[in-house]
Amino acid sequence: MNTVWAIAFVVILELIRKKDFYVLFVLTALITLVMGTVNFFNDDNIVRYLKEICLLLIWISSLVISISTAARQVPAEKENRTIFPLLAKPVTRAQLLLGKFLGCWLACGLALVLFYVFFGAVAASREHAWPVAHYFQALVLHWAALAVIIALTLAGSIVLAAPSSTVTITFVVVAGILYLGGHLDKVALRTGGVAGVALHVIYFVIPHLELFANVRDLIIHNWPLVPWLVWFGALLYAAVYAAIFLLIAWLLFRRKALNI
Amino acid sequence: MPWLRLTALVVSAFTLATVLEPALRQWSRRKAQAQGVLAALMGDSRRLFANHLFVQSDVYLHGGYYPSIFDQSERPPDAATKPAAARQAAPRDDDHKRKDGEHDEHSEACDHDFLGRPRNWIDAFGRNFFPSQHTHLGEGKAGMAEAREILPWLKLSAELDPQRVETYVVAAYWLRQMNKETEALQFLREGLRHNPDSYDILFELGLCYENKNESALARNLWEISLRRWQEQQSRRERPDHLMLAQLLTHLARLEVRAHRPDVAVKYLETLKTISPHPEEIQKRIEEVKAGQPFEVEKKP
Repeated sequence: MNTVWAIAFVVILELIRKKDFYVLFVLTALITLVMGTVNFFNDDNIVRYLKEICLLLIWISSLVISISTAARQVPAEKENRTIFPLLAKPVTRAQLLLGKFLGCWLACGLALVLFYVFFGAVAASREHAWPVAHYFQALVLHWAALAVIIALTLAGSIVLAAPSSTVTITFVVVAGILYLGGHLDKVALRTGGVAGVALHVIYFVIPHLELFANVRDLIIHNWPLVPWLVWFGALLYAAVYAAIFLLIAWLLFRRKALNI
Repeated sequence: MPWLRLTALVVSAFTLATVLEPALRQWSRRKAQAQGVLAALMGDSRRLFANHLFVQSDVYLHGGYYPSIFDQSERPPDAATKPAAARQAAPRDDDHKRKDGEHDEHSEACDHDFLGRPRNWIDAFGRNFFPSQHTHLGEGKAGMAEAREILPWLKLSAELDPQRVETYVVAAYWLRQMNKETEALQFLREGLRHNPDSYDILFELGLCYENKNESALARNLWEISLRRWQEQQSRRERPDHLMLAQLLTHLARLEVRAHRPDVAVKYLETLKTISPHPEEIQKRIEEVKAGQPFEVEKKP
């Protein structure tokens, strides 16, 4: 396990050194603050549009950070040929993958904490309230969704040759799931036939990331907390999918030739 | 020779610039004045975005509980296209209330249960993670002040499509509910600048002045609104009778208050011809003739 942590720590350091997070954080903060200065009918207490914009930017930023970081990990090691001395040490391919996953996931978690603290501060400046439990639920669910996305990206980076194609394809898949995932069964019912059956199968196979993204609406419109048992169930759901994608990544990676 | 060519090129370029520059300046000024920067940048696509933002205000009115485009395709056409914020702000009077109310109840019922029963375990589980109960802003502890949250979207929608009259009327309705008469007036005036012939905006302006106890101004505006209505709607196959009824009722009430029952009766007689319940209007006419007060039911 120490080996896994050591690899993860290197990934975290890499993300701290890179400028992606800082640029995205500054952009999110800047856009949110500029939108916050807009005067709507001389009412200073309007806040929900600001929460919506800020949370949307946080989701986009987190997707960019997680996918672009995870997609680079294995190909970069191969390209720099650092993967050979790494695997020559007593490090298995499973440990390497797990370390990369854990590093990306923890780094995204750190970034998310900063983003949500900023979001909380913006909301509190208008609402004069800190619903900490709500923010905690939303943050952890968001982080759980990122675990699935990172695992999916890692699996993609093993199959696809270039990080750019991994990033593009993962973005398209994730955006598709977020936008259409929850409605595929309705479309399947209306479509019917073989296409309908195929859509139904896809609906039940894909990880429903929109469940995690939808929580934004609960936060924006001040709805009550998600029942804790259901919330825990969602974490378990994400954990299962992350494990499945990691397993697929490992199955693909364990016999893959490492020469470029 | 090269110097001569260069000089000729510079002179011709200068001449062309002096010819084109005023025309270009005039064209850009005219374009900017007519449509604004957003229109110049976005073209007609801004109307699509404006419509999306208008619907977004309705999403906010319902606290995020709103059908997606996939749910909307299964709903009746009117319920799918006309947001509840607009339906709620739409004018209605005593005579049309029952009919309109029936329609509203039907549409609202469709809004309420657009989710239906869970289709599968993912759907059932997923309902814990988004607003899945029908609600309206203004029903909570904060009261009507909560409805302020829909305003940014209406404002942005009006910026994108200033010709959309509904945006101004709906925003003014909610601003009046929040006792923001000044802001409502300002916004409606802005709407009137872009839509000088809109009888809806004139009527809404009249309501604002009436709330400010400026009856003379309100009467003038409603009379202009009535004229505009007649110019635009009277020759139509299906005229907007709901708006006309609203206008006539309010004008009649003002005239009763101003102790001019004859004029009020004239308005009510016209109202009787378009009302689905003429017997009710006849009762009102007799009440007015008998010198009894005439009040319009306040909107919720």
